[in-house]
Amino acid sequence: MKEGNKKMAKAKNSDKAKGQHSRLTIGLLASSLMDSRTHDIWNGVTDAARERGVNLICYLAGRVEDKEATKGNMRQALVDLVSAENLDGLITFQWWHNREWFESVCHRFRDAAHQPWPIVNCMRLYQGYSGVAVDNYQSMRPVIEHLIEVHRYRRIAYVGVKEGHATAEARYRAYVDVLTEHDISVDQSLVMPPDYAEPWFGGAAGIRYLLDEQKLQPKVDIEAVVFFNDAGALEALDVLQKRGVRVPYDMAVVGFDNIKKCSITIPPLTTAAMPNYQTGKQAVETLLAKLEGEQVSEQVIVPAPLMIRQSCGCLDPSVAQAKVGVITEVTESIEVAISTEREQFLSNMKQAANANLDSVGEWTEHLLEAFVAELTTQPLVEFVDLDASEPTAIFLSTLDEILRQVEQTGGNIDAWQDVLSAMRRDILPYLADTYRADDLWQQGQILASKVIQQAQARKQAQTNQQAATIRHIGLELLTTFDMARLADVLARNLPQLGIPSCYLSLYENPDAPAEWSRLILAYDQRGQVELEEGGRRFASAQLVPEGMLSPEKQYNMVVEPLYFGENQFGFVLFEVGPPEGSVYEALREEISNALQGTLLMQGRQQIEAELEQAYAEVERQVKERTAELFEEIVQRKKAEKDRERLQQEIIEAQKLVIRELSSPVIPIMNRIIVVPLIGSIDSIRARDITRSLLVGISAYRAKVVILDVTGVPIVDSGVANYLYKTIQAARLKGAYTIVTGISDAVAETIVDLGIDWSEITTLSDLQTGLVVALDSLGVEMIRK
Amino acid sequence: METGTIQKLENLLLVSVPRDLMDEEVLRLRREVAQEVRQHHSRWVLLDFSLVDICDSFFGRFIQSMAEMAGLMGAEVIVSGLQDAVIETLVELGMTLPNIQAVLDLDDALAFSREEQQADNLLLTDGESPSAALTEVQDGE
Repeated sequence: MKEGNKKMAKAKNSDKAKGQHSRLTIGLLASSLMDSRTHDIWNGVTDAARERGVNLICYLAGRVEDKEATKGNMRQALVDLVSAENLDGLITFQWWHNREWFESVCHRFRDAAHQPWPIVNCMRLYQGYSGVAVDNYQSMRPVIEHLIEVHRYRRIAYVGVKEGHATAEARYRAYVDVLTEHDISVDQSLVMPPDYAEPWFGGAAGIRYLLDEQKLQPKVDIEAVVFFNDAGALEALDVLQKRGVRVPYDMAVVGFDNIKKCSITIPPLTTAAMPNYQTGKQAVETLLAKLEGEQVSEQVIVPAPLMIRQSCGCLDPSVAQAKVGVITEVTESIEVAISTEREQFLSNMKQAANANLDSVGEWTEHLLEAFVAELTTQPLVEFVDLDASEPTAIFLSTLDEILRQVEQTGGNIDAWQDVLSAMRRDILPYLADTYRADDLWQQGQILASKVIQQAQARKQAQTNQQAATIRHIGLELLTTFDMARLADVLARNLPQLGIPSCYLSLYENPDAPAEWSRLILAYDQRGQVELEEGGRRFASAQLVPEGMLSPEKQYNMVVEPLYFGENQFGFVLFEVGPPEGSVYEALREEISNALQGTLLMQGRQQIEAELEQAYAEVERQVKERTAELFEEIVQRKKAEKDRERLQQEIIEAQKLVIRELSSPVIPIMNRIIVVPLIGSIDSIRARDITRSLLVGISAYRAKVVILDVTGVPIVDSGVANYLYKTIQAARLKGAYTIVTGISDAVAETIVDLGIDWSEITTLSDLQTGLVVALDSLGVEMIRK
Repeated sequence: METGTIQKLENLLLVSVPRDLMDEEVLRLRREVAQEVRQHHSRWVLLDFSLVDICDSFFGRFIQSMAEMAGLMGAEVIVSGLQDAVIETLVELGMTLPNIQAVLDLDDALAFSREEQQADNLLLTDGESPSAALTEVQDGE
C-alpha cells in the first residue's frame, strides 16, 4: 500500500506531500470511538491529517495493555495489525497507560531497520518520548482563582486526592498553592482523604464526607467544592439536588475535563476544558515535524482553558457579554468613532466570533459596514416602521448571509450572538439616539437564535436520519445469513451514511489474526468490487489486498475489530465520512452480530449436511442389511422348498414301492405269470394293477396271466368292472387271463349283482388255474 | 410323413402303422392293404402298432373297419405291439376290439400264424374244408 503510494506520489510530484517522495501515512492507536475523549482526539487528528494532506489509519484496539492482563479485550487483536509496512508514524492515546506500557508499545513498534518508530503520545508525557499533554497544574489554577477572585469564596473544599497519581497530585497541588497564595489556609476537614471511599474522586462520596461526616453547613461552612474531574462533579450535582442544596446559590461546584454532559446539566458545570481536539491536532503537527526531521519541542503542552458556566455562580458568558454597562460621557459622534476605533471594534468582534478562519475577518467587516450604512443612509429622525424584508434592510440580510455561510463551513453560529453583543457594547456609547441601533441589534439577536434553532433542528434531523439508516442496516443484517448477502446489504446502505468506501475482511485463522485474512467485501466510489469466491487473501497487516486503495487519493480510515463474545472474526476498514464516531461503532456492532449469525448458520448448515450424510450412510447400511436378510429369507425358503420336494420325492418313491409291493407280478413258468391281488381294490389301485400287469406281460413275454383274487375281501360290481378292464387290457397285450381264487362268497356276490363274467375264465383256486394255463400253452405236466 | 410299410411275410401281411395317421392316409393305407391281400392271398393281416404311442376314437374305428374289410377278403386281422398307454386309453374308452386277436409282438404273431396254418393243414388232411376249420378256430377264441 505504502509502496504504491510512493511510486504514484513520485510520478505526480505531489506538492502537498511532506516527504520528498511520498504522501505520508500516519496511524492512530486508540481504544474506541464510543469514548468521548478518544472521539474528540480522533476528530482533531482527522482534521489535522486532512489539512496536512496525509493519510490516516485509526486502529480502535480497545484498552491496550500487556496481553495477559487484557485477555477479555477482543479489540486487542488489532494491535497486531499496526505495522511499519503501512505507517510512517504513530499517535497513541490510551486512558489507562503508564510509563511501562508506553515503553513496551514503543519497543514493539519498530521499523524494518529496527529503529523505533516515530511515536507521539497524547495526554501524557514521558521523559525521553514525544507527547502532547495538558499541564494539569497550570490548568487547575485558573479554576480555583476564579472561585476566589471573582466569587470571593474562602471556604473551598476539594474532592479527589490520590497519592502516586500524577494528574491527581498536580491538580491538588494547584488547589493548595492558589489557596495559600490568597492567604487562605488549607482546612483538612474540607479535603476528602484519598482512602475515604472508592472511587477516590466520587461525587456522592465527597458530598457524604463533607456534609455528613464533617457536618459542614452549605453556604456557611462550605461555599464551593472543587472536584478532581467532571464525573465526580456531575455526581455531586445530582446528590445535592436530591438533598435540596441549591447550586450555585448554596454551594458552588466545579470540575475538570469538560465532558459533553457538562453543558446540559442544571446548572451547567463550570470546568477546565480538556483540549482533546487541539491535542489531536497538535499530535499530528508534532509527528509530522518529527517525520520531516524538524527540530521540534518533543513535549508540547496545550492549555485547558477555564470554561465558565453557571455552577460557580456566574451568569452564562454570552448573557454577561450582552451587557453594555455604565456609559461614560462620550463626545465623539458615531461617524468619528467608526473611523477612529474601527480596528478596535473589528478585533473585539473577531475575538467574540471565536474562530480562526480567514473569512471571519471579512464577515465581521461586512457586518460592521452594513450596520453603519443602515444607520447613516436613513435619517434617524424619520422614525418609520422598518420592514426587515425591505431591500434597504442591509444589516439583517448581511447577517443572515453570514450566518448561513458559517453554518455551511461548520463554524460556530452560537458565537455570532456574542459578536453582536460585542458590537453593541463597543458602539452603543457613541450613539446619541440608541433606538434605531438597538432595534437592529435586537432583530439581529433574534435572527441569530432562529438560525441557531434551525441549524440544531437540521443537525437533529440528520442525526435521526443517520440513526434510522443504521437501524435499517441492523434490521437487514438481522435476517442475513450468508456472506454474499451481508456484503450486498453493506454495499447498498453504507453510501447512504456518507461512508465513501469500506473493506471487510475475515481472519483466516482467528487464533493468529496477524497472519492472513480474506477480503470479503470491498466497495468504493466505483461501486462494489468483484471478489473471488471465498474472498481475496492477503497479509492481515496490509489491511487490504495490494492495489485496492487508489494511491492518488488521500484517505482517512477507521479500522474496527469484528468479534462477538469470544469469537474473533476479522476487521472492517471504513473510509471516514461523517465525523460522528458512533456511526462506525454502531456499524461494527451490527456487522459483528450479523457475522455471528452467519457463521452460526454456516456451522449449523455444515452440521446438518453431516447429519444428512450420516443418515444416508445409515440408510444405505439398512438397505444393504435388508437386502442381505431378504436374500437369506429367499435362500431359506428355497432350502425349505428343496426339502419339501425331497420329502415329496421320498414319499412318491415309497408310494411306488408300496404300490409295487401291493400287486407283485410273479413269473412262475415260461410265459406264465401270477398276479396275486391282496387287499381291497379301488380305481387308482385298479389302474396301478393294470399298469404293472402290462409291464409284467412285456417283461416276461407272458401268454397267460393268472389273476389270483383270494386276498380280495370284497368283490362288488365296481371291483368286477375294474378286473374286467384289466383283463381286456391284458388281452390287447396278447395275453390270456385266468381269474383264480373265486371264493364261494365272491361267486355268490357276482351272481347276485348280475355281473357278466361269462367271457372270463374263472377258476376256484390257483392250482387248477395253473393246470389250465399249462394246457392252453400246450404243455403237459408228466410225473417222472 | 411316411405311410405305413406293408410287407409280406409267409402268409402274413405285415402292416407297420405309422406314428401319426391322418384321415386320407388311413383310407390309402386301407386300400393298399386290400390290394396286397388280394395279390398275395394272405391269410392274416398283422397290424403292428409298436410305433404308435397316442390313441383316439378314430384309431379303434380304423382297426375295426380293417378287420371287417380283411374278413370280406378271407383274411383275418391280428394286432401286435400295442403300447401300455394306448391299451389303457382303449380300455377306458371301452374299445376292447372284442373279435380281434392281439399278440405281444411280431415273434408271437409269426408263431401264432404258423400254429394256425399247421392246424389248418391237419384239418385239411382230415378231409375237412379249410373254411370250416377256420370257423372252428374262430369260435374257439
